[in-house]
Amino acid sequence: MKPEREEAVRALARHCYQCGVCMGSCPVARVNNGFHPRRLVQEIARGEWDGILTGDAIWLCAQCHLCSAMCPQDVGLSELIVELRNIATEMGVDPPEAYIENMRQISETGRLAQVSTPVVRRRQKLNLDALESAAADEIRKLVEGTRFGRLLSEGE
Amino acid sequence: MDSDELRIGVYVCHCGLNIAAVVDCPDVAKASADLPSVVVSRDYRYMCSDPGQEMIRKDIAEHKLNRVVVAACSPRMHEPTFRKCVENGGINPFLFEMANIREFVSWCHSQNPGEATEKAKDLVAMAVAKARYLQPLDPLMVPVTPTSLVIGGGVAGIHTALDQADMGYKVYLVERSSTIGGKMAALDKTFPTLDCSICILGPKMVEVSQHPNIELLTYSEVTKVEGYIGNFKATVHRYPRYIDEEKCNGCGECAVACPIEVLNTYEEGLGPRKAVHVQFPQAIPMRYTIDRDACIECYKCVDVCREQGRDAIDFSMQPVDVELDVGTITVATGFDLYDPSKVKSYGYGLYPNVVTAMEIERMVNAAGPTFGHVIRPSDRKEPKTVAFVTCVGSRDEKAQIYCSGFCCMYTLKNAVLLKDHFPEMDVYIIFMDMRTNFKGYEEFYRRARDMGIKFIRGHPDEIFGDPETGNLIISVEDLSVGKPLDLEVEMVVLSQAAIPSKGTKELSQVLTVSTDTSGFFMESHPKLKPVDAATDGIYFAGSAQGPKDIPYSVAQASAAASRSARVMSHDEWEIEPITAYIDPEKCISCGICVSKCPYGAITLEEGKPAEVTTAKCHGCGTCVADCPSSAITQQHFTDEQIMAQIEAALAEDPENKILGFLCNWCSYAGADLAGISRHQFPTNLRAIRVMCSGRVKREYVYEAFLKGAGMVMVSGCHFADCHYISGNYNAEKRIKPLFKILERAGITPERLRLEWFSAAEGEYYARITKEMAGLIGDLGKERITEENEKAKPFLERMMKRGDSS
Repeated sequence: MKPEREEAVRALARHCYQCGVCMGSCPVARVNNGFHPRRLVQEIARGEWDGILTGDAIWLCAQCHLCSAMCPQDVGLSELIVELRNIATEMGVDPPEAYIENMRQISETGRLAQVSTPVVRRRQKLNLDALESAAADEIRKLVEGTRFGRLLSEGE
Repeated sequence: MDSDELRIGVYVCHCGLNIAAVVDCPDVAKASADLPSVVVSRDYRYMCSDPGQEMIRKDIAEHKLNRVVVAACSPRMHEPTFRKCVENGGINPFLFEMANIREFVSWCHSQNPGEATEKAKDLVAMAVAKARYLQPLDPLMVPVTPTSLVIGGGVAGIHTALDQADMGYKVYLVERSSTIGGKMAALDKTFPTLDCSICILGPKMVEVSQHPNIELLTYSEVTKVEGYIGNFKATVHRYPRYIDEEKCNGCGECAVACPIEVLNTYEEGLGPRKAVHVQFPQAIPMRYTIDRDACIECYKCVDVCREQGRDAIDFSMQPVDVELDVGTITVATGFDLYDPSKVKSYGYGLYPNVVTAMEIERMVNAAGPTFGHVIRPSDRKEPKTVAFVTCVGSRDEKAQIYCSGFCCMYTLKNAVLLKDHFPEMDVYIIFMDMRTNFKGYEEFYRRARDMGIKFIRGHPDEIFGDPETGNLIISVEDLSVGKPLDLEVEMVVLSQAAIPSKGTKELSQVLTVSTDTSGFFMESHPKLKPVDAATDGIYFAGSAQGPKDIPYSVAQASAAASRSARVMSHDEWEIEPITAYIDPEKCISCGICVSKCPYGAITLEEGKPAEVTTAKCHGCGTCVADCPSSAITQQHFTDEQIMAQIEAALAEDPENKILGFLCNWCSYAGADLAGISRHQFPTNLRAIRVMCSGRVKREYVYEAFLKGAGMVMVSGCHFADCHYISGNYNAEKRIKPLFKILERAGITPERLRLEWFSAAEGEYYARITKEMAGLIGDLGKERITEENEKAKPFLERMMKRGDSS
């Protein structure tokens, strides 16, 4: 990792005084013991890169940005995680299979999760409008324009 | 001593390693030896030490020195020390000049020793150049009025006033509210000894009202201050109470008769008061006030007061302005509490059972609106579980970045009181760090733990209200176990941050003193002049200068009383003779100086040259810069001296240099702060200190570009903050048109900068210096030289015009 890039990430993490507001507000941490945003910030500040970049934690974040919005020290953890994901992929670390699957799903169908037949049936029962199809073509183009799109095509 | 031959001594200070670790001091001393008129130049570890000063005194005698230059720290630090030193050595103290090679060089260019050393040499050369033109001056003595003005009647103002009055000085104590007492009067108990607050403050308040030396002006505000140390003239605006303070005896029959009830702000809106009221039973003065916003003018109070035989009520009362002559001013305007409804996630204002620390303070008080019962606002039931949340609005980049200091302790105190009154109650304190760092405080924290108060380390990310039960669910990570927690409690108490009291900014402008980046009043030096304002004769006490608890406020109050007595105990006080004088031969009696002087110090009689009243002159130099016939001189900041500094600064490699004019009060202090804070930036800037940006002549800018300067910066205080009322406005009026004028002459207008920054904005100074250095780099030496060359005929013409008039 380039020293300037490492320093930019660590500099933000150093603002952290470990109050735990990120942890308290995190919807992922509530359901997944493997994700601990406050500890992640501490590891970043300490520069424990191996564990961070090869581990699953950075891929578990749902990017809801609650931690960034609530952080009293403006650490901006959501944004740091995006940067760490970029760094990890550039270093050749593949995201977990499930994450790639999710992204492939989005780029192909425009949806994060497939709409299952039971869901369609229940919507009909409730007299709800049929779901519009996502603009998959446009989404694909957008994804192709990103680094992740390049990663997907490299994987193929 | 033969004054014809200049004999200058130069002394380069290492300041231990503060300077010497970066700047090659022996090399600077060596280079200084070659400067004109320098007969001796030395470097030494600590120039301010006794041996250092002795070295100067010895050299004055041995080498017959008649000018001394010390290159060391900021003149704002040690100029007085060395002036005294040369005076003891036998030469006039104003024949001394200082080069700031610590704050301006070693501390802010520590990564670049080579360039730093070169800059230090330049700064010494500039100081020597100025020293060649220094003139001996006699100190100016001004009379001192042994009277004090104290603004703010909280615990700090009360103690300052009492100390000063006991020392025999007459004191005017001005308080905005209808009673003195401040925040402390509303507290139930005080930490760490749990004294009843009003029981210990009340007697002091009574003492104020009975002291023969104290004149109390409540329901009043200071709206205007003129003058200077020993001789301030303050205007106090007195709001009408609509009740004659002389006739009212505080019997309170009017309030009994009054039919109007409004929320009592003293009780945090938890209880009522009448339209005619005193804030609390121990109010001083015990005089009633009519709240005309609430009053319906039924005049029942008038009738009942007449029946009492007093007839004190007067609805025709008008505000009056009172003028006071005082020698010193102490600002003790205290603090306000942060409004937690600004941060939605705390739930204050959304859920009734989230209350503030001040609200619980009034509830716990036996004389308060609930008679000591702690009740939930939603259903008036006594809560069985209460959680205190600290750092509400403190240590938060989105609110106040600082720690308010006393909240940990008042949270502990309130929690202990609850646990003491209601042992069955479950009391939680949710905290990030527990700060208990004074006498008896840590012991108090232990006492709280021993009582069974539950401590959870963490900070809530959100507080939700349950509409069914009125209970609150606090979402927080319990840091000690590292797990998110949903804690359900019946009531939440928020420990609000302390913020600058309302009107602080306005008062700072009335007094022309600075505020810091947090908005509190800024002291002259954070360690060695903690209660002095940068303006002589003005002092701070208590939370006006930053959040403080009671013991600390009282200590500061006594410090301010002592600092002001240091002045008031003298019949006369020495001030710097840096005043202006007008050459009657050159004066054309145009009267421009009369209109520019913010102090009315210049008078002009028809057919006669204008004249400066020296005692009224504050030494800003604005008249000097605006005089069309160059008839005015400011002593110790003469044209000759400044021109010599410009020449020396730009002697070598001028295209790469920024010539900066920094006003003494804000910009110079801000640049000092950049060094003190160890901000790092390029070395291009060469600073010339003037008392006010209003002193900077257009000719200085022309001369700088003529001499090849890469950039010129003129800087001063923010508008309305000018130490000399209007100097920076005049500077702007004079310098701003230069952008167009210079552009027409062929100079990129961005090469001139007009900047306003305060003594607190060191980081800003570092940033703009970087920007300016960047521009010099972008334009390149060739382009700058070319532009200067092109503008030369125009600049020479302008300079000539300045000379001939």
